[in-house]
Amino acid sequence: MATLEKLSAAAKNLRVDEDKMQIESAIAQYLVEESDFNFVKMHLLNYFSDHIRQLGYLINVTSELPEKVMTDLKQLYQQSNHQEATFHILRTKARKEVFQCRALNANAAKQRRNDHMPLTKIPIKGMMKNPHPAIKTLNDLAEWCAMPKGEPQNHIPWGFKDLPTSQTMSITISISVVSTIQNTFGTMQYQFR
Amino acid sequence: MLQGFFWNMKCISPMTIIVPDIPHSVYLSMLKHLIDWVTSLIEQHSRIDQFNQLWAIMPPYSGFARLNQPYSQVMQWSGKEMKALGRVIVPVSAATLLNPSATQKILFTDALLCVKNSVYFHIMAQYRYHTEATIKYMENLLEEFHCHKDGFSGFCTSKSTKKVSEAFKMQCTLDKQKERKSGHFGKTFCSCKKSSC
Repeated sequence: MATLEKLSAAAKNLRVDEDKMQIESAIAQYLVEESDFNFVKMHLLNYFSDHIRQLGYLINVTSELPEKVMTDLKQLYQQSNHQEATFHILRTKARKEVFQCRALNANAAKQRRNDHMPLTKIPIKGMMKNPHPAIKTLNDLAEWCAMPKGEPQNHIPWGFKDLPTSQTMSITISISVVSTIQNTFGTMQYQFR
Repeated sequence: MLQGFFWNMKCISPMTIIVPDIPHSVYLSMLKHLIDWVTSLIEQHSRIDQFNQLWAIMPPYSGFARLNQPYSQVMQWSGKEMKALGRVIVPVSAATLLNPSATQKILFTDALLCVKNSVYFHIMAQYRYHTEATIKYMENLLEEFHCHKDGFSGFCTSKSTKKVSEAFKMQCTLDKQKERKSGHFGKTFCSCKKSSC
């Protein structure tokens, strides 16, 4: 049998490395054998589809919003004198939000003044008028313009095609008018597939 | 579904017992596990430097808060960072696992499919409109994830197993040291060429 003293340093190191490799491979094999995907949070994903079928989409039950409110709640409770705290928290929260709203409005007004714009927003008159009151949806408009049938979004690039400029302008203007009317009065009827 | 004792009671259904809450069941469990598996796989194949570099240089985009640090330097995983992770993990891991060798090829493609399916699943779970078709998509994605997950099986260990393995490792190293001190070496590493060895 060889003893430790008789071996050279390189042979010793080789031996140590060999041992390390053996241990690591044994550990890796052990981990592969022991590991599985059978834990609760992985299993929970199987119930998502059933949950959606029975109780609607998942953002209904998200805890994101309460957690967001929780930080405010903690801070406001610390500010109060801990007596009748509910009322105080609500009052302080309301007051804070009113001040925030005022600050936002004031900043917006300041910005407008700096940009030399009118202080209040004036609705554009020309945009609200529909020259053809019978046409209310983009599909109707497409039929009126004798456009190819398809998705309503595809009609707008079609309007910019090589047509006489007057015709193109009239089509694009009428498209913009109809779309603004639809946006403002909520007559948009997309079918969600 | 397995038949349990509670399922026979009229007031209880499995959907109301476990409420799938998006931040905890998707971001903090699914994506957190996924990034752990992916990084340990990449570390095993010594490509973690590329992964870190790619992680830091992702350009900003709407709906994606930019990650300025490399992955290993991110200390706190808040909701914002987890959301960004969901957006970014597929391209970053795909770019890191480019050009595999012949032995790595199957493992890497499986890992990428696994990542892709789980990320698509978590995005689809947050849809605001669901039809029967989208729910079918979700089920298929989950099924495919379970088909390709075997590449990660070495990294998916519970804390108790990790503890046991560490203790096992300590024990083994101590044993080997003792063996070395006692002077019994195998024949293959004997330097003296005498016949008595």
